Amino acid sequence: MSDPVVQLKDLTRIYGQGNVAVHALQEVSVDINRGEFVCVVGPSGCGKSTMLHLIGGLDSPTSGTVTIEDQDLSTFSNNELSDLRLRRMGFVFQAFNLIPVLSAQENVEFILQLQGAEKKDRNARAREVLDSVGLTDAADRRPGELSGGQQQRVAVARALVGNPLLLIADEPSANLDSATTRELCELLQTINREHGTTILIATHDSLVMSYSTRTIQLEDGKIRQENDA
Amino acid sequence: MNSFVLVLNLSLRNLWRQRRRNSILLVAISVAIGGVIVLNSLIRGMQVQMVDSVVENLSGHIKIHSPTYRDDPSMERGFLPSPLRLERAIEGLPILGWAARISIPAVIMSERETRGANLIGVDPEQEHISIVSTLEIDGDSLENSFDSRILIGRSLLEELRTRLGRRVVLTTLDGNGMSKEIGFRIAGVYDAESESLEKSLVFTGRNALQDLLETSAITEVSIRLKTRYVEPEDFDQVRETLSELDVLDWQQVNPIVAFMYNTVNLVIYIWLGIVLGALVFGLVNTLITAVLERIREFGLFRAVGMRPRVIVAQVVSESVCLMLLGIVFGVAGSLLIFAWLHDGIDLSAFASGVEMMGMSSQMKPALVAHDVLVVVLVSIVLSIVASFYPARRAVRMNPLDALRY
Repeated sequence: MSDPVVQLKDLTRIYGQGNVAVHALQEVSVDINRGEFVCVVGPSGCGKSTMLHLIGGLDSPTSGTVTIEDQDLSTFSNNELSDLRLRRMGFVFQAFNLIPVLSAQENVEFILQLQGAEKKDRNARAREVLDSVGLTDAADRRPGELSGGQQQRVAVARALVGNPLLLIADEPSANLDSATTRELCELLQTINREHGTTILIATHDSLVMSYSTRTIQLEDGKIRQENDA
Repeated sequence: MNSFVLVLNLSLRNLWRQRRRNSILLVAISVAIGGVIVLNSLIRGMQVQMVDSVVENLSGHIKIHSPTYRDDPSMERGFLPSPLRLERAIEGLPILGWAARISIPAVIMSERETRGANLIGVDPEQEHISIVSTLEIDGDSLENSFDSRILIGRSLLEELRTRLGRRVVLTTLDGNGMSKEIGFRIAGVYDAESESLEKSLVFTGRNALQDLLETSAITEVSIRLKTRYVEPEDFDQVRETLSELDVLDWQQVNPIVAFMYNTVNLVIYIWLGIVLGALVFGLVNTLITAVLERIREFGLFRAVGMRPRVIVAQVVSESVCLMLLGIVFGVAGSLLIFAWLHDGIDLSAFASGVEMMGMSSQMKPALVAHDVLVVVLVSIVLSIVASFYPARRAVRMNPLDALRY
């Protein structure tokens, strides 16, 4: 039985107006179920990132609805959207986007600190998550002292530390070599299998796709094809 | 609390990350704040000296005349002293002392020259409240209120081309408006900081002068307080008790000095506004640069769910932290300079100019806690105000645009 975490209905996003209007997404309807590992794939400019941003409440649709656990995001205030992202979602970005003045552990703890966790609890939880991504020894290092792969693992740890319902990753392997990409994907797969975290990744990397349970192929802002693994 | 710790932690680390740039700004803030405090203390010192000087120079804090004396300062406009009523008028006030005097215009003639002067009849025992008790005297001081000799300023003595021990003649009007010529022997020659004071004031014993003018009246009572300023309610008490007399505070007696005194307050705040206002532009510039440099970071904050007010708090706290550091260094520096200048700055090269303002030739700074507090509070408020625009830019940036920046 399907248990949709994310439901997109007739989702359309148009940037600009008139002759310069760009139809990034056109009437996309799709459900993403709890525990799925979904890759949104397609060429550059097909609307992958737009779709992820709309799901993450970072952007608003021109028409259509985004529903997260049966709640329509259009009814959320800015603060409610912030809370939703903080407590129910984890983000991994192409450029890692770690905070350079904080150590790996502090970057991970940062989310728990925003959530209001006690120092002792967040310290233990951050250690635990860093251990799970294999960065026990790099906890005290700052982003500038870590390799690209290590930085992306810190970013994954940061996305996971708050036990999110949904992990959204936008081109997470774009700055990684294939070996590091494989390590990252295995890590995400383990998280997906062991914790049941729903994972949604925008990518055009076939290696990443090979780990997914479903791929949604976009073309010119429309769903062209959906494939189950 | 968690957010506060997070914000403070990030602010301090970000300030340290750009330590070279922030150090330059920190030096500018410290110099501006220290400079404002030092200059304010010099201006306040000048102001205090002005007040002390006029209060000591026979004005006192409160002066009492007959109602018509100021229109025509003569013996005819004198009044009979009533020590009992005076004691009642000053009851409960922080009184250092009071002195009853005669102060009338006179013409003084030596064997060679004639000059105009003010003849002041004093009781030396009461004059511990005024400059009379501190004058440097060559010759004899007045022994008591019945001493019929005179003290004369050195400048006037030189203009009259006479000398110590000689006799001079003073012409003035008695209590009936009749001209009187009285001969006095010069008992002593005094030196004062002010040349105009030396030229204008001639002192003799009050009772002796009353005898010579055949009157028992006086023309003024001067009251000196232990405090530097007279409280309005204390002044009102004296004025209401002696309602038939003309009761004046030192500002009414010396309107020009009072004007300068009040102008100084304005100058202090204008100066504070100019310096700290200029500082705000430097602060805004640095904060905007810092925000633009970290635009991706702010995009990330928004994306992971940091509320806008926490982002605003972060920019504001960076500005406030920088300002607080500047305040600490600025105040510490100003205290060191204050200690160094504590004995005063010698302005004797500009003696005639400073004398006009009722100051001595030694300019001493006066550090007023209230002034320092105003500088500190205004600086903190300005650091918050200065951070609003950069903070607004950080918050209003679309997180997606910021992440792609």
